[in-house]
Amino acid sequence: MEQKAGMRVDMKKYYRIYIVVIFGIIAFFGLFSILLPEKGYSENENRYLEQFPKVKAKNILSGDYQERFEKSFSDQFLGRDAWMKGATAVKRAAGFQEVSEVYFGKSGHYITKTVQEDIDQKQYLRNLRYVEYLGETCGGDASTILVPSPGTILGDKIPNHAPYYDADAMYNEAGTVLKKAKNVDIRPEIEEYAKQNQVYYKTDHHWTLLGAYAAYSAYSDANQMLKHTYGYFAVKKISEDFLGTTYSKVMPLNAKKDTMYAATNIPPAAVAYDGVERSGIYDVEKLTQKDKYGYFFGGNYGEVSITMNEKAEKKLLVIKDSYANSFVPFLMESFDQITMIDLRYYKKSVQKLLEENNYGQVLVLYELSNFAQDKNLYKLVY
Amino acid sequence: MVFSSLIFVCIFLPVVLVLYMICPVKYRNLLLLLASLFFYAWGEPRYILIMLFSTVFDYANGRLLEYFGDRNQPKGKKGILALSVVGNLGILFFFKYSNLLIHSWNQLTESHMAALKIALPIGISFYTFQTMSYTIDVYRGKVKAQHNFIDFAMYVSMFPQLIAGPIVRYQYIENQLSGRVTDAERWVKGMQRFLVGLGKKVIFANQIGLLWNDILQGNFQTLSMAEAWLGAAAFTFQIYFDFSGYSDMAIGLGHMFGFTLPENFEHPYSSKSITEFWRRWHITLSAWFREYVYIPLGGNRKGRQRQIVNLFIVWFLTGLWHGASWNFVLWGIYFFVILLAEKLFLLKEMERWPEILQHVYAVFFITVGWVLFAIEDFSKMGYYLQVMFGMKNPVFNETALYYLQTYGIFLVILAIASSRLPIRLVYRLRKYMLRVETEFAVKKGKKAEFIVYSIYTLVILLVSMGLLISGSYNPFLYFRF
Repeated sequence: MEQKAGMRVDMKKYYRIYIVVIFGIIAFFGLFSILLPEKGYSENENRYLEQFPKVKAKNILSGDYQERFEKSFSDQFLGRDAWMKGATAVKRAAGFQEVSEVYFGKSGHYITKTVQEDIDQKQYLRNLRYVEYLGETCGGDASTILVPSPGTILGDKIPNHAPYYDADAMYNEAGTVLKKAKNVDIRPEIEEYAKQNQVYYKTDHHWTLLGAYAAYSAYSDANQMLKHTYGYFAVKKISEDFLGTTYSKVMPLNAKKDTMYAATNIPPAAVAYDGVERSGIYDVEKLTQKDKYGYFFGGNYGEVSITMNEKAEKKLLVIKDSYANSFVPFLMESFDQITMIDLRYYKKSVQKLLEENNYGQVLVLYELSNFAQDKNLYKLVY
Repeated sequence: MVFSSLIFVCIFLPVVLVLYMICPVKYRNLLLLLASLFFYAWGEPRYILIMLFSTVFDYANGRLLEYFGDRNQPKGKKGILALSVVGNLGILFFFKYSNLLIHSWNQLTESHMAALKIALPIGISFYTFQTMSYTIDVYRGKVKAQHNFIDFAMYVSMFPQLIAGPIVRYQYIENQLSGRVTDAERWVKGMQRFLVGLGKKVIFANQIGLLWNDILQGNFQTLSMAEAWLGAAAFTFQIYFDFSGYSDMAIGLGHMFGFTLPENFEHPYSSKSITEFWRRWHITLSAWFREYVYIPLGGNRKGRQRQIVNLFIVWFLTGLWHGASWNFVLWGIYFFVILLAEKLFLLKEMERWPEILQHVYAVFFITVGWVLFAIEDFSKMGYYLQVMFGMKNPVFNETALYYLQTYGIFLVILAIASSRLPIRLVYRLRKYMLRVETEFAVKKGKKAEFIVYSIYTLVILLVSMGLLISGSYNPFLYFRF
């Protein structure tokens, strides 16, 4: 048919347009991703972006240069966030219920996917034993709070039938191993609050202030301490547009922003991060940035000391992950001095710290799955 | 470098395309050679020396074969051929199989020989097979020895097919080394083919690979039968879309530079027997083994018994070619057994079956085969197969339901995409357009088809870029080949 005279179709114009469009797209993004000034820190992803490496013969021969070049090319890619959003939207449309190990939960929740295989039961048991050792040697009352993972409490918010690790068995194990470092099970309390309120952020892996309050309530009861009501702390809204870590991993098109609160009725205190004096426990600067949870204690530091009373008779030591940052303010009323240790960054001897200080109470507070995977708890023994 | 990377798509490819366009015709092979060496050296800066050695070695062998041929010295020719075959296989064997040998020796004799500290140079199985096809065919007088070293080196290192095929026999491409045509139409058709391949790899294979990876990394003790079959299906699709995607990209890239490379996959999962499957799967590899192993061994010309032995040798080697691990050999022998059964009686028997049953039969054995291929550890593989056939663990569980829910639509899309349905639909539409026999309709039909297909490939490009930028799962499956 096409051979018939006059029936030949001249496609040249169309070919030319196609070449210009396709070549234009790949070359444009390739060129400008390299030529535009490098971006250092990604607010959105809360990490430093890979920078284009310097040319060195040794690195080229080992392939290290090429690897880093490819990584920085992807990190520095023009319009990176928009590309990621597009990719997520496509996957969602194709029926995927998770992206980058985060579930698309119900009612706007983005919940980290933690399955049974992610948990190293041996490491968990070892960590429990380190904590129990701490309980035996600290010379004061020791408690442990293993904060339930968001998916454990919000089981009805993760996609139907989606796998999630079995927390019950792990709490049972904590109950058997932890004797001196008394296991404070905050699940009933936090479940109670979760019925009516939001105890975890929708776009972040942390708990909300109310979640932290539930833990404070359970902790105070377990240690027969005076307990204040939530209202007592004069809780104030600090931000209405928080998009946290799970949001950044998924990059959904239409995320519901989280509202953040903080306690304002707290006693005045002298605060030092890693020995450097600070103006307070809240870092207002962080509210203008992406990582707004950093408002509480400005993020994670090796050692944070909070002194309400110079005499420091009632002293508390908290060994913790970032979950404690929004929780500790509730306890400031109850102690003269609180020291927070983050073992990831703490370089000194914990045992020596215990010897030098007379802590009446010691608290280990971690989110459960984080606790089970943490490889720094051995430091409690040294 | 791999095709399915941002750096290839957005930097290497546009740069090479522009240089190729402005380069005078007589220097184009040199340009492609340099580009190919850069492409290879990007990922294997040291091992490029092996490839260069291979190139020089077989270039020299080709010239020597010609030299002895011209002087009528068959002994000299035989010697050179032996040298070339031993040299090529020696390199392949040393880099690919010596650690397997050491490991197996240690297991058999309970000794503790240390493993060699060598990594497998990417693409070595492809380019050694290509250079061997050259010297053997020069020996046989099927092709003339190549005098132009640059042309020959370009053939060996040509980046489109360098790391994952198709295996282009020298015979096939000889005439294309000089005097190729490049024009807008070839560029466009090539780019479209490349983008289809990119989509197969990045959108289809990588994303369903996540499911297989989840299942493979999971705890087999809690694996249900349904999960095991979902996993096997996932890998079945992953390997097809990955591998045929690479071939499409290679063929498309070749096209843009004026080459016509051989097809490598022809809807293998639409086959109705395993015999047919192997005519449609990795076509250039099967062709290579037929041409340089099966037929030289005597093929089917020396009686049935000898034919069976020949088939066994071919399938043992085919399996081993896919990786230095015994599970690949098992996979090859598995197909030997099925193919033999088909040859002896099954194919005749199957003629009476309904078509759908033939198809189910083929897909069943292909899928089970991929389990042998994908799980290297024999005890894990055995366990997985037992779960698949209901001998262990429950039939169904929550997780299987979740996987069905999250990957269900996608699996259906993949099944359709790997079948002949889409291409049939296109033919049907074309036929329909042609039936309206006016010039106007033909023109319109052709233009409409081009526009739709162009938009389709453009969308593939954008989605693939998005997935590559978000750093989603992007494995390279052929590092063992």
